Amino acid sequence: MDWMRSPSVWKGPVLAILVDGPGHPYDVSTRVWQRLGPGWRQPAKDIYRVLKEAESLGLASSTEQPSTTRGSKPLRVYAATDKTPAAVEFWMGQPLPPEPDVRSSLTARMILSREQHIPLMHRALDEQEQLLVDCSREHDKPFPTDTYSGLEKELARKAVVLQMTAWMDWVEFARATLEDFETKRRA
Amino acid sequence: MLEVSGLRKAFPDGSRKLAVLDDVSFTLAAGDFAALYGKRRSGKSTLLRIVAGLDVPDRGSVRIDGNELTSLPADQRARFLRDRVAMTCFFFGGPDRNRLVREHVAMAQRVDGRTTGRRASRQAREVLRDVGVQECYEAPLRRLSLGERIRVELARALIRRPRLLLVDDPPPLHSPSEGNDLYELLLSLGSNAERTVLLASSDFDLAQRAPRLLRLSAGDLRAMDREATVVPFPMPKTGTDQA
Repeated sequence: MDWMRSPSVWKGPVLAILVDGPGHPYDVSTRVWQRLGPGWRQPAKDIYRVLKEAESLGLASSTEQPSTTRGSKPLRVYAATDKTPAAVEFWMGQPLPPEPDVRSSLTARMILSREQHIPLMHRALDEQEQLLVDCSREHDKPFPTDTYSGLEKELARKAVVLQMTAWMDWVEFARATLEDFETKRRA
Repeated sequence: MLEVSGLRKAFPDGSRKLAVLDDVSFTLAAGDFAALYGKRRSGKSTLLRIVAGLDVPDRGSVRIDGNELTSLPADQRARFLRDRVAMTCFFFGGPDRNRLVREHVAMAQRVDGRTTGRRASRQAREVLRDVGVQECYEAPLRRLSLGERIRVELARALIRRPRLLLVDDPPPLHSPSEGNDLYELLLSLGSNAERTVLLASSDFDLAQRAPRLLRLSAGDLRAMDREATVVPFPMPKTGTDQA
């Protein structure tokens, strides 16, 4: 299971999706995004690399199947093997990465900005706030949690909404801090 | 239906004055459902109280159905607001804990001095049914769960069939499924074309579901309108992931 210990965030989800059902790399990549939500879009070629590595370790198998589109190349379809569920179980129990991902291009700009950039920062904060609201409002309908399938969708939805809300709070704090700074400067 | 224009309200904060509403303006048409999102102490309740005529602004105006509130004589304003506006707050620790639900709800209807007790009780039963707590009709308020108590307060506001309903920050419920049921009820209040609803909430997940979203922050009101293009998530399941 050494391969599963590496910090890549894609291995576990890709294998879990294969346990749900077989698929070609593009299909697997789409299903990862469908299940996990925004931020989990990944080019099929990256997923393909994970699938090839998994196959070399016996955690996935592949067969070539004719494409349904006339004239297209045959598709390589990957499926779970009898080792895949245990690898997914192993992934579920692994310690989480020590540093949560808190990167954002807006915070980088704010931190590296200078006083003359304040008007640009206000504009960026307004833009960011609208983007956060729009992203959150794409996920405004709760899922019923009386089935496990509904529950996992609701957890994914709520994760997006709460993260967007936390960033909105930060935008509000940053705006107030800038305004406070400007007021003191003027005084 | 509701026009709020240039509203300003400041409160003393030590030696200075802190503006919780600073040039706030917006309009709501009949049948609109808007959520007013803001963190705690951002001025949501102050705004609602001014719209309900319970507080006066330092500056600015509130017009309901074309009538400016401050221009009406006090007794006329009180009657005007009683017939059109209901505001519901959720403070549950008062001396009324032993009162029966039916009395609590009917009392809101009987304040006009024209409705008989029997008629008000019948209307209380109907409106309690509408909000899904008809079984609480004979219960004392102290016996109710938080979810039931919120619904009873909504019934109390709805019994007078207000044209403008102001809902002030319903408290969050512990169970997600109970919370979702309450969300659905609150949103269904906006399905009446005759009723305008302004829901103040510090819960963004609730506020964002309203067709119109206003955000109050540091005295400033911003309209956060929904983008036209919405990507549904999660997408419908494909054939391959049904296993």
